Order: sequence, then C-alpha cells, then structure tokens
Amino acid sequence: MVLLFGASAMSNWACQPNNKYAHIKGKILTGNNKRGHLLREGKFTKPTQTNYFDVVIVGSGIAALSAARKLQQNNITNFTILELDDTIGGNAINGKNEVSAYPWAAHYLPIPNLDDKELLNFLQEHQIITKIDEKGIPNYNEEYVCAEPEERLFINGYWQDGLIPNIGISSEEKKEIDAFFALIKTYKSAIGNDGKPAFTIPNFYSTTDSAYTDLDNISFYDFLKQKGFKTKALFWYLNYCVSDDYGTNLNDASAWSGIHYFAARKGVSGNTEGDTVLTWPEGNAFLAQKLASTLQTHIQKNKLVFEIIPNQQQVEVNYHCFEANTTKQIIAKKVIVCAPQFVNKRIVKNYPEIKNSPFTYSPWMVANLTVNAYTEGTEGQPMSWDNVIFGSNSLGYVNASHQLLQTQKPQQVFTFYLPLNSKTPKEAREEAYEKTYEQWLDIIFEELKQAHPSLVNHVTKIDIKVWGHSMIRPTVGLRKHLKNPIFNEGKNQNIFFAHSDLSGISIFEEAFFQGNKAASQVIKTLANA
Amino acid sequence: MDNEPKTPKPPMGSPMLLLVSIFIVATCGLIYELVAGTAASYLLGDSVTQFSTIIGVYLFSMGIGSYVSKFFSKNLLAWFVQIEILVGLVGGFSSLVLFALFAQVDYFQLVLYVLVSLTGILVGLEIPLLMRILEGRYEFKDLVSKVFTFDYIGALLASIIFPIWLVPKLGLMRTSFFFGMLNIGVAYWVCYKFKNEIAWAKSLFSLATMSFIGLIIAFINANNLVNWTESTLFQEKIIYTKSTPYQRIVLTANNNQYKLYLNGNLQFNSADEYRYHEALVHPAMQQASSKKQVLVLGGGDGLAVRELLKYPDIDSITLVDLDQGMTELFSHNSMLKSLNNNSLTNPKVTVKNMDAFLWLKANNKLYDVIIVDFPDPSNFSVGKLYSNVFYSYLINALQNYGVCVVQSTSPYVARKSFWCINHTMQSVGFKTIPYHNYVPSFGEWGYILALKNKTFKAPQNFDSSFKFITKNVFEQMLVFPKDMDSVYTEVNKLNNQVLVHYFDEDWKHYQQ
Ligand SMILES: Cc1cc2nc3c(=O)[nH]c(=O)nc-3n(C[C@H](O)[C@H](O)[C@H](O)COP(=O)(O)OP(=O)(O)OC[C@H]3O[C@@H](n4cnc5c(N)ncnc54)[C@H](O)[C@@H]3O)c2cc1C
Repeated sequence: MVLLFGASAMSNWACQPNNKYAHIKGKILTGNNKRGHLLREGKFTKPTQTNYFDVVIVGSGIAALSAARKLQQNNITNFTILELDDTIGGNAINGKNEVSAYPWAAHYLPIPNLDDKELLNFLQEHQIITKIDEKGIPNYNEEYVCAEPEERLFINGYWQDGLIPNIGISSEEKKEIDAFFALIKTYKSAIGNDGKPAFTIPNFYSTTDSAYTDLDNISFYDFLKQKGFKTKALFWYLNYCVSDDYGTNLNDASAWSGIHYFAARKGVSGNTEGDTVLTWPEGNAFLAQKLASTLQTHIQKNKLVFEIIPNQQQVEVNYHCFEANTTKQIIAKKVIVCAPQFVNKRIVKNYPEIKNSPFTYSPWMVANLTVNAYTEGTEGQPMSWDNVIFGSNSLGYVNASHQLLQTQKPQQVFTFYLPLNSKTPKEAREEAYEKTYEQWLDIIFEELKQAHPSLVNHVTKIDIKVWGHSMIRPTVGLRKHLKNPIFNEGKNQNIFFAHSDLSGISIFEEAFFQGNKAASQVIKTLANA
Repeated sequence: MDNEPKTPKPPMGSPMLLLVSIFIVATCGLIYELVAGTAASYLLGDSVTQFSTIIGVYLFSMGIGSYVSKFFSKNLLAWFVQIEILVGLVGGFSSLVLFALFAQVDYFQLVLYVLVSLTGILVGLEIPLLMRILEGRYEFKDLVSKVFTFDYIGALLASIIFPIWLVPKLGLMRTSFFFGMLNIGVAYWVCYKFKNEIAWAKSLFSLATMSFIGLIIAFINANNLVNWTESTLFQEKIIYTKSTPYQRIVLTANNNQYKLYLNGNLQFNSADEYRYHEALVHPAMQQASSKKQVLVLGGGDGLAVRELLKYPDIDSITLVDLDQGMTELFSHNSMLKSLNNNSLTNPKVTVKNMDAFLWLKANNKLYDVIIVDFPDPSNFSVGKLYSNVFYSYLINALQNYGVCVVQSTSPYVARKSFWCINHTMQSVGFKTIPYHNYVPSFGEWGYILALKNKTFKAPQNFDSSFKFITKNVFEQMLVFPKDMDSVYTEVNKLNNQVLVHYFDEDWKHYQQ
C-alpha cells in the first residue's frame, strides 16, 4: 500500500553519504503505512455528509474487487468501493518505469485447480484462458504463462535448473528429498473420511477429517523431525517455500500449511504443464486491473474507513477523505469488509471476536532494481524468471522484465523479495521501519553478492517498499479460529467479511474465493429482504 | 629569394645525421603509400587495382608537392619543420582514419584518395625543401647524389620491412603511428639543430611535442584493436567492428570476399550469399498472388530486399530490424551498398529499427508477402521469434492467401530444429512447404515457405537473371534426402523453448 511515485510528500529521499551507492537513485516508498496508523490515534471528526448505498465494499484488494465483480454479475449496481490508498489492488499493486512494469508484492498465479470453476470463469472472461475443451480442460494464453527458463537456483557456484537443490548434493541427501516428495504425493491424492480432498484450494473445501486437520497443531519443523528428515538442503528448501508463500519460517508455520503448499495445487492445462504459473511484468496487478475493468465508476480512492457500526436494519460506515480532509458517512444495507482483521478489530464495532483471534501478519521488504547492461559471469542456466540463491535469507529475485516479448533487453527490472521472518513479526516490523535506504542496499547486495558480485555497478535505481502487515501467517493452531461463524454465516446479516487472511493463507485464489463467498451472502440476504 | 640570409650558411655538423634524416623521411614516405595501398585492398578488395591506383595517385601528388615547393621562399627551415609535423600527423593517423571512416561515410573512395593525395603532396614537398635548405652548405653534385642515394635506400628498406616485419608484427595501425613518430623525430632534430635560425623554434617545439604525445597515445591504444584484429577468432582480416547495444558486428575481407559476423556467427559471405538470398526470397514471391505490400523481419543487411526489388509490382517494402547499427551500416557504407545494390535507401523501402516481436504485435496492417530472416535460435532471446505465439501474430499480419517464408537453420546439422520450426508454423494454421539448398559457406540450408489459406503451386517462371534458382533447381530443393527428412518434434512455445534445446543438442551432436 504505497503512493507509488516520487511526487509523494511522504517519501523520504535517501541521503547518500556513502558514495559506493552514489550512482543508484531511488528511495524508500513509505506511502500509506502512515495512513493506516491514523486508525490508532482515532482522531476523526464527525461526518458532515451522509450518502445511501445498497452495499459498501471496504478496501480494493483482490477480495474486494472479486466481491464487486460478483455483485455486478448479479445485477447489483448500487454499491461503492472505499479504498484508503491512491491505487487499487492492495497487495497486488505495481510500479512502472521506462524499462518495465514491476510488482510491489503479489506477482503470479499458479494454474488453478479444475474444480475452482469461478476462478476459471474469470480467467476466461479476460482471455487468460483462451478456450476450455470438451473435457473441461482449459488452454491458457501462452503470453501469460511463465516463459522458459522459469526457475534456477545458485548453488555451489553454479546456476542449476529448478529450485530443488541438486548440484553438489550427495546421493543420501537426494534420497531424503525424494522421500519427502513421495510423502507429499500421498497427501496430494488423499481423501478425508468426509469424501473431501485432504488438501485443496480454496482450502474451505478441504476435509474436516482430523487425520489431516490435526496437522495444524504442530509446526512444520516438528513434523519434519518426527518423520525423520534431517538433510540441511531439504530444510533450507522447505524454509524457502514457506517463506515464499507465507512469509514465515519452518518453526512458525503449521505442518498443515507446509504440506498444503505442495499438496493442494493440482492444476491442469491443455497447452502447458500443469505445475506452471501465470505471470506478468506488473505481477498480479494485471489481474486486479482485469477485475476492476468494469468497476471504475464504483471505486473511490483515498478513503479511510474508520468506523463500521451495525444497526438493526442497516450499517453506518464512517470514512475520512484524504483529498478534501473531511469525514463522510454512508448508510448501507450491507457491508463487505475486505480489510485485514488487524484493521477490522479497530473499525468494526461490536465484534470483540475479531480482537480475540490470533491473526498475525508477516512483514516484508520488496525492492525493485533497475539494472543496465548486465551480463553474468556465472555458469549454468541463463537468467530466468525466478532466481534464487541457495542458503540465502531472501527469496532472491524475480525478473519482472522476463515476460516482456521483446527479444533483447539491455535493461531489466529485478524484484527482490525479503521476508522478515527471523524474529517475531512485531520486532522485525519495528526494526524494518527504522532502517535507512543505505542499510537496505547493503542487505540487498549482501544477499545477491555470491551469485552477482558485480551487479552493484550495473544497478541504476532501487526503490524499496516495506510491508508492515502483509500476509497472514498460517501459524500453529490458526485454522480452528477461521471456523468462527462471524467470518462465515455471519453474526449480523448485514456485515460480511472477505479477506485472504480468513483463509489462513494469503494467495490470490483465496482472496478471490473470500470475495465471492461474501458477495454470494450479500446477494442472498438482499434477495430475502 | 631576396630575403634569404646573405651570410654564408653554417655547416650542418655531422653529415651522417643529415643523411639519416633523409633516409627516415624517405622510408616514412614510402610506408604511408604502402599503408594506404594495403588498407585499401583490405577494405575494398581487388588488391591489384587498389595498389596501382594508389601508387599512381601518390606519385602524382608528390609531383604536385615538388611543384608547389617553389612557392616557399622565406623561413624554409620553419616550413620544413611544420611539414614534417604535418606528415607525421597525416601519415601517422592515416590508417586509423581509413579504418574508422570506412563504415561511417558514404564515399569512402573519396576519403581514401583525398588522404593519399594529401600525404603525397606533403611528402613531395620534403625533399625539394630539404635540398634547398642544404643548398650552399654542401657542394651541389654531392648533395644531389647523397640525397637521392639515401632516398632510394630508404624506399628499399621500407618496401622490404613492410610486408616481412611491420604488417605481421606491428600491424597496419601501429606501423603508421610509429612512422608518424619518426617524422616528428626529424622535425625535432631540425628544430634543435637550427634553433637559432628558426623564427619560432619554441612554438614549433611544443607543437612537435604535442603531436608526438598524440601519436604515442594512439600507438598504445591501437594495441587493443590490433590485438583483437589479429586474434585467431577470425581467419580473415577484420575491416570493421562495432558493438551496438544489441550485438557485435564484425565485417571481414579476404580475397575479395566479405563476411559479416553477428556475435561471432556468420551472417553471409559475399561470395555465395546470392544462393541463400535467392532461395529465401524467390520461391515465396513466385507463390504470392499479390506482391504489393511486403514485410521483411530481420535482414538488416538489405540483401533480401535487394532480391525483392527485382519485382517491379512491389509498392512498398517495410523492413523491421532491431539494430540501427546494422541498417545504417548497410545504408551508408559504399562497399556494402554495392553488395545490396543500395536497397535500403530505395524509396520503396521503409526501415524500422524496432524489436520485431513488439512491432508485429502492435502492427495492424496486412501484407502480401512476409520474409523472416532472423539469426538461428541459439538462445532463449532469439528462440521466442520462432515460437507459436510469434507465428500466430505472423499469420494475422498476412493477407488472406498471403505467403511467408522463414529462414530455418540447417536441416542437415540441426535436423530436429528445422522440423520443429516447421511443426510450430503448422500449429498456428500455416500450410508449410519446407525446402533446402546448398550454400557453400553455410552448408545445407533450410527454409519454410508458409501459406495462409492457399494451396501450393509449383512455381514456373524464375527470372533468367537469377544466378542460382531455376524451376528445376527449386523442384530439387523440395526433396529431402533420408538424413534430413522429417522427424517428430514438439511445438516451440514461449513456455517450453524446446527449439533452443533441440538446437543445442543438434549442434553438440554435430560437433562431436
Ligand atoms: C510480498 C508479497 C508477495 C506476494 N506474492 C504473491 C503471489 O505471488 N501470488 C499470490 O497469489 N499472492 C501473493 N501474495 C499474497 C497477496 O496478499 C494475495 O494474493 C492477495 O493480493 C490478497 O488480497 P486481499 O484482498 O485478501 O488483501 P489486501 O491486498 O490486503 O487488500 C486489502 C485492501 O484493503 C485496503 N484497506 C485496508 N484498511 C482499509 C480501511 N480502513 N479503509 C479502506 N481501505 C482499507 C487496503 O489498502 C487494501 O487495498 C503476496 C503478498 C506479499 C506481501
């Protein structure tokens, strides 16, 4: 959630005393971390104006936009979307410069499972799926399928193809890695005693069989130890995986979520591999823009909702307008709250249940590096979409320019991802907010050094974004709280919640599902009224 | 001559030193002539013509110099020093100027002969002036005999060490810098010897110093280029190199053959490129029902366009090539323009320097014929230009019943790659007609003719002016011997890039 471009008064230009970075332009984009913090202070004036809508959607992340799409498809048009940022998309926003568009957070969508019909429909509406054949198998637009070469790992001085450690790994270690994937295979096809899959996406549809749900009660690390795994390379790789999808480490992530990462994705495609991903230079902002393509007249940006008060028949929504510096009110029949629960616990009145739920969020640092005329001196697989360094704390970088069709790219943008998961989220967050631009640059180049020793000389610009609360952390024991009726059937038939955190897992498919689920409830209850 | 000092001239000191300097001046003079002749035959080929015209022009210019010498009446010593400095600079930098301008200017011959004449005139001035300076200091018959003896010995020495030692050891560039320094050395010596007789000895001294430093710097830096041109990468003489943001262009010449390399890969050899370009262009043009609008993707050398311009019914040709460095070179360099018949500056031709993939995606015009001439799919970047996504944009840019042709690497060396291109084109709806021919510089080479909603008719009337292709020859080109015949392959997609993998394997296999 940022003010993307430099004009923002809040952006603090880095002063650069240390001239080793004198040639690098850029800054830390602070954006609306500060806007959100206004909620804590709670100093808002009385609304000066009241409007009436059938439905208010709070937020414009993927869940919110998906809900709005669903309402519109069901001929509900008297709704408005209130977003605190000056761009839509939430965690699916992007930036753009003369070289390439690039993501600020979410950047890909794996080929979805065949039973996720609503998602397949959406993808087909926008020609991301070009056709679905007689057998129901979708064909994907190949410009959006991650181009070859897809992934590589820098290990023992060499870029290997794929991310599972292989080069210089002993045969015993390889055996253990194989054993892990054999175990995963059994989970992938497992069915619970209620006939539902053990693992699937949306995970709402997975089994309630305790043989599987109990895996949420131990950490992934303990689970692996119990199963007798000990290979360092495997642990590094699995830690990389839970960092990638959840921003947590092996100790905090539950075994259920760790297995889910591998066992829930069963995508099938007629013209590509099933285990590939859809991606764009701007990342999932591409999907956010598609979702929003018919919503322009409904979206109001720069609006901070600070109070949602359920009354008998309707809901009062109070919000602050940043541009006019005023406070307004909407009286709505229904409200879909698409902000994360750490926000909702402050703004939704009479919902103590939210406060009591153990939702925690992982902080992240994301940097976009503009790189000029860089040729690598390293051996192995050439520059790929996802480039990971074995043993590193970071997730490496995604080459945002990878999907650009042009053949020659003298300049490129790399999106560097650093999950801040080695301390508690609170400590890591506070530390991250204190860091200077130079300190981040030191960290970035330190992480990339072994694979790209001379990269620093070729970087012309680095912009940095610190996400304080971004992904829900699927910690041990979280899942039973997701069952809370307020997040499902609803305690009050006028307020519904939709955010990926309610799935316990922060991915596009879950946000999309949450939005659709809440919109369906609104459609149903409006029809009943 | 009235202002000549009346006092008797002081003797020169050791006559040996004087003779050494005549000797040096003479050697330098001949070296510059040889440098120009050699550079011209490297750059323009046909060494007999180059050498004889250059010797002619050079000797004639020396005559002009000798004639002009009579107009110098005052300050002979100062003039001589200045001329020495000038000879050192012009001659010394001559080969650098020739190599540097070869690719840049439209009228290279003009530059060449202007430079040769200038050097000739300056060198022609040297001996007459020197003799007049020495006049009165030595007896005339002695003077004439000594000066000319050393002049001719110098010439002999130059003509022997030039081919045996200078060119192979120093290279052309450093040779001319070196002899430029010798000329300036003579200027120094004269300046020093006659400092009392030369009006502005001090300023001439510093002029000589600056010129000397310039030549030394050039000598040191030329080193890199010389090392590079003499590297074993290319057997031929490198006459032009340029690194553009996209590629390294290298042009070489050997026995009247020019070869163009892009990133070290041979693009064409002037001796047999007609076989490739006739085979690329004419079968498609024979198929086309309409030939008005033609698109060329790649092919910045303008050679395919040269073939296209043989069809008067073409209204316009659009050439899209990424690299401005390439298309400029082939639009302006006189030697290369004579290869492509000035095709790129033809009014029917529009050159667009853009990425072909992006251009094609944004394009909404329809073409009757499209010629696709990209480098081989040896890496992931180029591999995209052979993908089904690219070909679906290609087919959409064709008129109904339109025709296109794609250069498709060697079906002999890279059999799987060739058939993969064929299958990929079929996968987007083209009817394909694969064919091949023999191009000595490349070996067996393959092309894929592709038709949109159209059936293939064997072409009947290839123009009799073509050097290679005829009706019978084309019929043979359609026949694939067993060792090049169709094999199963996957379709090349952006997200599998199988072609690059096939190409890699094919070449590894071939090289073993
Ligand atoms: C670094 C990073 C990388 C990621 N990569 C991927 C990826 O590659 N693939 C993937 O599928 N997922 C990825 N994700 C997960 C991503 O979070 C989800 O895919 C998805 O975008 C979440 O959408 P959402 O609608 O649930 O929440 P959010 O994106 O959090 O949306 C909430 C919205 O509500 C707004 N809001 C909050 N409070 C208020 C208020 N009081 N008033 C008004 N508006 C408010 C916010 O500004 C925001 O727009 C990534 C996340 C991060 C942080």
